[in-house]
Amino acid sequence: MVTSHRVTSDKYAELTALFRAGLAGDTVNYNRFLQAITPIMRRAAGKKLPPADAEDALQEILISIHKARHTYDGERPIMPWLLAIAKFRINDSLRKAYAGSRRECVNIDELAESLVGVTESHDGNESIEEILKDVPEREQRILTMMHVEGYTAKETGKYLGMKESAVKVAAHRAVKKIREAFGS
Amino acid sequence: MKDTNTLIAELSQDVPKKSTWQRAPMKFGAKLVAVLAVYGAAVQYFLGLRPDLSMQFTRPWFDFEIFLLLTLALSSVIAAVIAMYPDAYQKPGWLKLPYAIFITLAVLVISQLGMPLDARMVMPESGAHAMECALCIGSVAMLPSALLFGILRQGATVRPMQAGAFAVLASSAIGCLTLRLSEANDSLMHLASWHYLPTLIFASAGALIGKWLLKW
Repeated sequence: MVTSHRVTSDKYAELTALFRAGLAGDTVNYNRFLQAITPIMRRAAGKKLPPADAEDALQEILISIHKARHTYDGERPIMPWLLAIAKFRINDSLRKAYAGSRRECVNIDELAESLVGVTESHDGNESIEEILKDVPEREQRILTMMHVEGYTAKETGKYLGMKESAVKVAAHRAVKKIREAFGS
Repeated sequence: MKDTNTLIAELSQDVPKKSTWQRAPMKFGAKLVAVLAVYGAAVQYFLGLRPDLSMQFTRPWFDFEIFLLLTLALSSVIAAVIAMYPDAYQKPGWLKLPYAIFITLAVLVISQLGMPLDARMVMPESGAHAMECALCIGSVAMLPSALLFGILRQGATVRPMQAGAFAVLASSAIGCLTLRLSEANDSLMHLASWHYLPTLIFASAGALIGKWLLKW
């Protein structure tokens, strides 16, 4: 238990006290503070991002909290401060993910050989319907909209009446299923 | 990426290297306003005052316009300081104030366009200087903008575009105010086109600069 510098009505008073102690140079309590906020931040990131990206975002959030620690004076509730940084970094991760997915392109020349192979092979996987046959109908629609028709996750979500994050999670799961089906 | 526990251990060891920034935003904002007021006074001394200024102050619309410009500068400085904190120091209302004042200013100018002219208003001949006013406001705004951006970079804003816009809006408001007190020109079309529209454009440019310069 850390001795609080100031009595506060904040229900996260313990967290605030740990942080304040950390800011005063107490590395043990600062470590405890970071450990304590990690599950909260992981949950916040997990709500918006697929699991693989959520862990990266969590680390970005922790680094950002550390970098911005001089802007917290312990005089106000800590959670809005923490969550503002978390939201900022999660949105950053989402932006990067979108930008990355838009930039991803393959030179058609590099595919020339394999494309010939695809058209000549008769392993029953030529059509997109064949690939998607084991994927649930809703996920099929999401994959088709996002990867064939070129809609963004946001647009797909709007069309299907789903949250953007839910669309991304569903797409991620569908791709995983397809990968498993192909044994890669 | 490394393991999260390793990261936490590393961050914990770094604590004493950066001291806490025990800066009350309102006090800091007030100090900043004082510095900018001195700058504004120096600019005003350089530009001079319009010869009919005391008479202009008998016009309520002119008084209101000057009051709005003053409050625009003040509120934008405070909003920029507040925007340095990730949680806006839990005073989000301050971030809306500059927008509200600028909209009131725009409404004031536009509404006067339909009103009969006051005999005390100075209407210069057509072809009088125009672009020079925008350039003057921009030039006056440069130094305080640089100062404010320098200060903003010390914070950890999660709204870089807004913070950048506030910094430039505050600086441009100083330019508008000093120019309004020195230039004997009350043409509302001139004010709208060459004073307030450029201010809006500068603030938009500030938002773009903020997006780029206030990354952390």
